[in-house]
Amino acid sequence: MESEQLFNRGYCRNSYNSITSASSDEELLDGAGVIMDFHTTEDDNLLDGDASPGSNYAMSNGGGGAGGVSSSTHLLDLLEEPIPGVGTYDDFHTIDWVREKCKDRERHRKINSKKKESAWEFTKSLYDAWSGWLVVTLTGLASGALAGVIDIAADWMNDLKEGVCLSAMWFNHEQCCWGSNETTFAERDKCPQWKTWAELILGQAEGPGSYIMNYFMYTYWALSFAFLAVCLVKVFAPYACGSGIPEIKTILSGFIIRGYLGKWTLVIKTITLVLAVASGLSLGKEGPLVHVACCCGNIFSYLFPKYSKNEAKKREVLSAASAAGVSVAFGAPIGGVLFSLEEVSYYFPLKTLWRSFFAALVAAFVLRSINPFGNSRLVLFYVEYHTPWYLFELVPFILLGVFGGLWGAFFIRANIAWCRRRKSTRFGKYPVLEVITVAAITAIVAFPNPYTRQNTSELIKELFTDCGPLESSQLCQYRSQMNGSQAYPAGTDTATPGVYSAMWQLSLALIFKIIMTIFTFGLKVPSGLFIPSMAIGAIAGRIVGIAVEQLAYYHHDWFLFKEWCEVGADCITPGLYAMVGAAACLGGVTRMTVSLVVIVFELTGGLEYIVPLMAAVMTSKWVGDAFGREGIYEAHIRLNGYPFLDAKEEFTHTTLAREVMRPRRSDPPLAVLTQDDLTLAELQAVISQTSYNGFPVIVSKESQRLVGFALRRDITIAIENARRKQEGIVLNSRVYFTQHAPTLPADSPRPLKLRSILDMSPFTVTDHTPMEIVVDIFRKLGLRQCLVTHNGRLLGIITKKDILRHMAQMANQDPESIMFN
Amino acid sequence: MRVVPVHLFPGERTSRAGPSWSADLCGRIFRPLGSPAVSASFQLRAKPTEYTEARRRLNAVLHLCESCSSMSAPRSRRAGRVLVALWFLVTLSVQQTEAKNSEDIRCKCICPPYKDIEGQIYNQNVSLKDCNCLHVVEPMPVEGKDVEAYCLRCECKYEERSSGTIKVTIIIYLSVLGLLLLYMVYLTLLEPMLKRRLFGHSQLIQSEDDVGDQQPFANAHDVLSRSRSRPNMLNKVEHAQQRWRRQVQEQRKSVFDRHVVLS
Repeated sequence: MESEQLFNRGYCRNSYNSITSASSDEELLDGAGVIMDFHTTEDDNLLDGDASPGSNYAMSNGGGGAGGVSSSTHLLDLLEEPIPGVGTYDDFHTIDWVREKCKDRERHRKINSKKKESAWEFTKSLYDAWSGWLVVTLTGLASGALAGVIDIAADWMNDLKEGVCLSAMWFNHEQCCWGSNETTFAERDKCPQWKTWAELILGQAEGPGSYIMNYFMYTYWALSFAFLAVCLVKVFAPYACGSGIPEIKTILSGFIIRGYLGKWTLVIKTITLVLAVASGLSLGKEGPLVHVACCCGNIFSYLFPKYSKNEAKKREVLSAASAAGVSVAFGAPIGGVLFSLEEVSYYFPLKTLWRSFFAALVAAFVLRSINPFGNSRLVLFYVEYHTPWYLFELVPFILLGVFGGLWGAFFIRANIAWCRRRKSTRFGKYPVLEVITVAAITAIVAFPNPYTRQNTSELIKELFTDCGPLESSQLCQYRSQMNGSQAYPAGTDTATPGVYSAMWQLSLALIFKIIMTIFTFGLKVPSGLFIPSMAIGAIAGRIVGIAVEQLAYYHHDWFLFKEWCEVGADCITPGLYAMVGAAACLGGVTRMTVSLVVIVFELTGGLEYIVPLMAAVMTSKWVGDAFGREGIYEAHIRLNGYPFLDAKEEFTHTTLAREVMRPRRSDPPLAVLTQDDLTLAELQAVISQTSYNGFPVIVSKESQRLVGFALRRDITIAIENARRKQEGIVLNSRVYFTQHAPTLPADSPRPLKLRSILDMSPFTVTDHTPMEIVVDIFRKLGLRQCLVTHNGRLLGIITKKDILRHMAQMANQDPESIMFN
Repeated sequence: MRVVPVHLFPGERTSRAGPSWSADLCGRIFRPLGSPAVSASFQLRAKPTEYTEARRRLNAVLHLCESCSSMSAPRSRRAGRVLVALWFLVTLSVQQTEAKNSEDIRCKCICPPYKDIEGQIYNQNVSLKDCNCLHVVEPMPVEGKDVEAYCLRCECKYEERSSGTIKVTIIIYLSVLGLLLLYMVYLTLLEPMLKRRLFGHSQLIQSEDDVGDQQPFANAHDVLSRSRSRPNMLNKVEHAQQRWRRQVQEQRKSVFDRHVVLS
């Protein structure tokens, strides 16, 4: 893989400068060998002009003379037959948003102009106009369906660790006991159809022997699921590992990772996600679902030429797809749209917003009609509260926010340190062994504690659910006593062993989850972060909630509680604390705010809890930001060194473009092409001797005036194409980028015209442009490279990489270690 | 519904410009699986030629063998289409017949402890309009005037599921998983053994050397050759499979060895 080094080293030597500045304008212009139509006065303006696109445009006409004006309004010369493959990108390269958007507008104009010609063309234009909605519909359908499959299969496999449904193998524990009348109030999930492994193998359900048997089977299944998952990932699609959100963020910002959103990745990610979730590792399926949805979006975009041939348009579909992914992951369509807007998308016009909205709607609809959990909801841990909250509760909510922020900062530090270790030392050479070790430790430690043994989603559900007379879980045992104590004189309440042991178990589960999640995120299996983070927050929140509740119960005469809490009445809802804690922890890890609150709000369906959630999430973001500004996804992007120019960061340094551009003072001169006096052999020599990805084209070596920019990939493809299709192209052939062929001696071989691959409107800035502005241009326009001129002469080039390097340097980080090279 | 399988995975026609040509070639593998493989092996058996020729052929046949004897990758993809379509159909039909299937609805009433009666769970197959305590709680544990008080505490929930969808989903999931596992076992265990037996060790090393193609114009060759149509089916299969292999190998290298992405 080649690095994305677009910069061309080399520096205009002083001699060049002196020559060119000394020479007259006529001399400068005449390098092309064509008659120029410019008047000298205009030319002066051009030469002294600034970096506005207008001057570039005029400059690019200079080579072609007056005849080129009409054709040069197109970005690429469309009069000639397009060469297949030109305008595409190599793997691990950055796209040029401006170029792609221009290409799309050009295509659109063409279709619009043909529309009136015939009914067929009209139909084609209709199809083209509708294809955006069609592709998001298909994406929504597919991601909803896949989410349903994943939900059902993961639930079933997860219960396979405990036992099996004898009457119907394909039912999980709950579905197995669906119609059973043998369930009792205390043990709601026991029914004769469901057999634990000990019952099946040993024939007895109780006793130490069966406990050990169950323990063994649990560990065995967990290990085998984890092993299968990591093997499948390793053999078929290595890109299917991890959560995928950092990479999708990078891809949406304009990076290309071939195969990352392909069919094999989709198949393997779907299959192994189920295995990974079922193996009991401390991971969730929500993040990978975003990746799965994006794979669907990418695959469906191949059906529509509008999207398959344009990388920028494809990214609009991917934005909508990620919204659909979150929509099905949390059952939160609006939250999904906001997630796409706040967290993953780079370029998010209103049109994409509406398409995301629609994709999220379709996906949620499909998932709802599949009804994977049998509760007519999109997620397992949907809850409904109706109890009000009181003003003094904001204090514990904010405390939970502080906890979430601290946890987030700690988690990011620890996880990045561990991942860096994995990346840089020999330890990373054994991915399979690592997964198996972590899975074994998780399974062995998790089994004895009922709160870690169960599925994390179910744990969250139990923690979110408020205690009522109908609940029989251990967490609520005190409740029945307190309720019972209403009938008795107050003050006879006893310590409640059930709740205390639950507290102990929950605390142990909290420590266990915190440690395991750090080591799990980044394993080479599909692993999401949402669910473990939420579980940690929910556990902490529930503990705080119960503590506050007990406080209010024992000290109901405090001035705080006196006002709101009457004796015996419930005024504290521990489930709500769990929910606030979950939101706070998730906010601390991902640093999302609006989308997170909306997602959690859609989970509860209660408008009145927005203020506590907002308070907690905001606090956790503040606290987290105090320890480090980046969220886990940005941290992973930085760890991997993806070329991601974050729009949220600010650039406040006072450097100038000439300090950042390549070539530096000590570097060899910029590798440039001249517009009409190169031979094919010379061009090939330039290409094979350098590894740069693009070359500026200038009028002549003497004048150094800019004509345009040609990409390495396009040049190689065009040369190869010409060799195959055109007669008489030999190594001595002249290569020209101008509109008309240069005048050549009669016996010279046929020249090769490469004007069609020349970008005649490259972005330029002057060498005194402040970097603040350059960085802004790169961020807002999504440029790949920008040329630096001085008095109209080409001086150097700034690429996205150079900017990232420069930003790292300014932030006192080692610029080379973090770059994707 | 019939549109779904056709368009789910686009063919090679649209494969040129996009980022996922990795996955695309596996789409091309399965199409020509029919007669060419058989005829090639016949030829091979019929006229034994000199060593190099035989070796070339063998190589080709081996690649074919790989795709026909263990068709799980291609088949899983084709099966993927069919299964997804099937799944859609079944889901739809299940949705329609759901109302009739009495197993799939339940009304569950949870009644908390009341006086000295223990908490109870009642479960009945009744329709939504009958889903209340009076219909479901049978036998009623309390007498006359207490019924109302008892029933007020109970909570009845009407729930639906579709057991057909669950069944089909699990079966499809397991079959895809099984096929993938078989193919994985073949790729990692059987194929190297087979190759070693046929060609000895040198071939293996040589084929691994081919992978790194770093010349500046190699890329252009690749792009342009992709756009041309290949007349020979046999070549096509071989080519496609090799490209997929190379891509996965490349991915594996960058993820597991060099740790440049996804670490």
